[in-house]
Amino acid sequence: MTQNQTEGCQNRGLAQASATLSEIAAANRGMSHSSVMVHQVYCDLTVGEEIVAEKSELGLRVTVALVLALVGLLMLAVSVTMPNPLDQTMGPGYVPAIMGACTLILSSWEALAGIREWRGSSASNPKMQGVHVRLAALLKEESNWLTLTALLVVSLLLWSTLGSLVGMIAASFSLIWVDRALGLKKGILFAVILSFSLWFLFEQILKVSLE
Amino acid sequence: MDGLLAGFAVALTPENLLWALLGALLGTLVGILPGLGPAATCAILLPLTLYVPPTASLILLAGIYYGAQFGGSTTSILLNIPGESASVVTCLDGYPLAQKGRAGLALAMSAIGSFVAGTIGLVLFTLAATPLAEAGLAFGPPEMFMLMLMVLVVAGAFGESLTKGLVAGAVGLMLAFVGADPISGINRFVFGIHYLYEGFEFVPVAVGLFAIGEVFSYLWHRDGGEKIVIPPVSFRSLFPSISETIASGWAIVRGSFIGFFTGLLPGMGAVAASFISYSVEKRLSKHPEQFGKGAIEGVASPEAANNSAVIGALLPMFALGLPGSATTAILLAGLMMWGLQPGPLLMVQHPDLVWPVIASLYIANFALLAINLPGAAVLAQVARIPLRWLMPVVLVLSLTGAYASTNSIFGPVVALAFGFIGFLFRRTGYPAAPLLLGVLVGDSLEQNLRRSLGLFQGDFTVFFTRPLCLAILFLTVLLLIAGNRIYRAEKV
Repeated sequence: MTQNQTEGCQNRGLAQASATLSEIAAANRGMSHSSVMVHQVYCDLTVGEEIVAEKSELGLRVTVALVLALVGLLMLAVSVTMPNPLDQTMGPGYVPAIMGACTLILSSWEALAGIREWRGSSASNPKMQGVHVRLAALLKEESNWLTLTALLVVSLLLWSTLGSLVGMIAASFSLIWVDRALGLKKGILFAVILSFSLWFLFEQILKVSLE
Repeated sequence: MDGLLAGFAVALTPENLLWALLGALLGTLVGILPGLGPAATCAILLPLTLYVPPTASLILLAGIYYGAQFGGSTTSILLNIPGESASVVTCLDGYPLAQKGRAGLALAMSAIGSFVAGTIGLVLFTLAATPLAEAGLAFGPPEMFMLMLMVLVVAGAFGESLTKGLVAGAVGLMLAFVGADPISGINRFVFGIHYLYEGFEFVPVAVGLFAIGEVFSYLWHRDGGEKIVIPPVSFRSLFPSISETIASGWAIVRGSFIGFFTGLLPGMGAVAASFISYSVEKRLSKHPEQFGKGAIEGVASPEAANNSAVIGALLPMFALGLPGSATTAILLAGLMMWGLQPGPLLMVQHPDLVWPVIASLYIANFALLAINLPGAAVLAQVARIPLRWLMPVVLVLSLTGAYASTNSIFGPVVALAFGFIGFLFRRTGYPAAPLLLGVLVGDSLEQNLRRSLGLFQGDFTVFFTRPLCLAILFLTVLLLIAGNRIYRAEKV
């Protein structure tokens, strides 16, 4: 608690904290500076936890939307390469391709809305400034999932259009871009290792299904 | 009318009478229990009904669906905990009435309202079912495709976000495409897994989404451990005064009609019906300021509406083969499991199945009144069952049901996977009903689309130029707008 209190005060700015403490102490006679400080830091922590919870929900929302977009993309990719032995106008891949595309577009839209909300709430909430350091650490886990999913979506998209190697290189760049865009610079290595493993798995599944 | 009389002859056999009463009682208990809904219960019981005749199974499941609306109000009034999503509105005035010591009045009005609405709904069903099914026979593949598309699009429109509803429907359709292509027979999206060659079985998907998803949610939140105290309700307090009866009478009649016609529309269901009827009552009332503080019309009207909405929702299901909600989707899946083809022909070819179910609902309506009017406070004790006891039972029954329906360990695996999806959907605000509807109607939707385009040489304009298709399209747009407005009103 003591370390958290110190961090909290440092982050809010000592001058501002001191002024606030004096104001509150003046308003609450009998309350010392230190007890007011403890109270304030406690409030900051509570606010921080609320923000973390809100961010966690948003992170999950974006992750789910991106996973669904990935599923849509996968269905689209498999559908367009599906054989049409009866040579029909609409082969077996026709309707699934439409649905895959619809899911991809709608889920991406939903994911983008979530990301916009994420960034918007970070920028507009002044209370975020005080707990920024702890928040960034706590959000590390979310960032891993987020970057991982974003990587998978972009990778598969690029893979289906550009081919394996180029797609992989482009995906690596896009990963860094996503991470930077969200202001989170942790967990990249973890995400890269995991996504390349999954990449391999997906490629195998696709190969099997196409054969 | 002859069909209904013949239906009564079947429904009044001792065996079917027992199924109807069991369904009504189970439905009431499910309605009272906040952790379990009719969709989850019907999904769990669906594979078990394979061992009883189809008519008896449908009587049981329809009784649960209908009875849950009766029971849902009990905990709303006594504890301010809606047992059913459609009973949320009942909390607004029911609980304040209970706090004023008038819980008996609220419970009585809720039961009487539900009974009257059920009767009105059943009469309307009886009058409309055959003409609607005959009209449905005129529908070609383009119209059927547009109807199914409307069901899917609109089912997601009454939630938090239209985009999320559409995504859920699209995911459901994608899952329906797994397995053999209905026209060419080619296996699609099976990834070499032989369990997927016949596609996803409906039962594991349904129990996963609704029952196991609920278990996962409970594990995540770990709520429900608090002690519940049920306030006492005396027998004398169940009788309303003359002025209260008059005030509630019209509210019940209005709620019954609003509920029935709202229930007819896909996606709307009992929840929307109760919200609409409540807001109509509030607008018509001479004392709108009383609403939210214990107005008896605020209990009677939504309770009437949610009951007749259930009957309304059964009409397109039986007459056209169109499910408008998760529970009707499960009932429809039951018909398919028993080898019946849902659609307009069902009522023509199998009146022996449809009419006994409707007749049994007339009987269940009386049984529910007898159970709920004097026994609501006693039955409410069920709400005291701790979720830590209930949820393991739900999990075991769900997994057993998933196994029984597939005769393979893949069933429980699919159920668990869909349980996780259901849990994620709950947490992130995606509605699960459109997904389930997508899985159910996906095959039929694709076949109708491809048949339509085959018949009209790949011309897509057929969906916008045929008069009936245009009318369905227009109705879809209207419902989307209405859905958005109702959701906003619910939030306020």
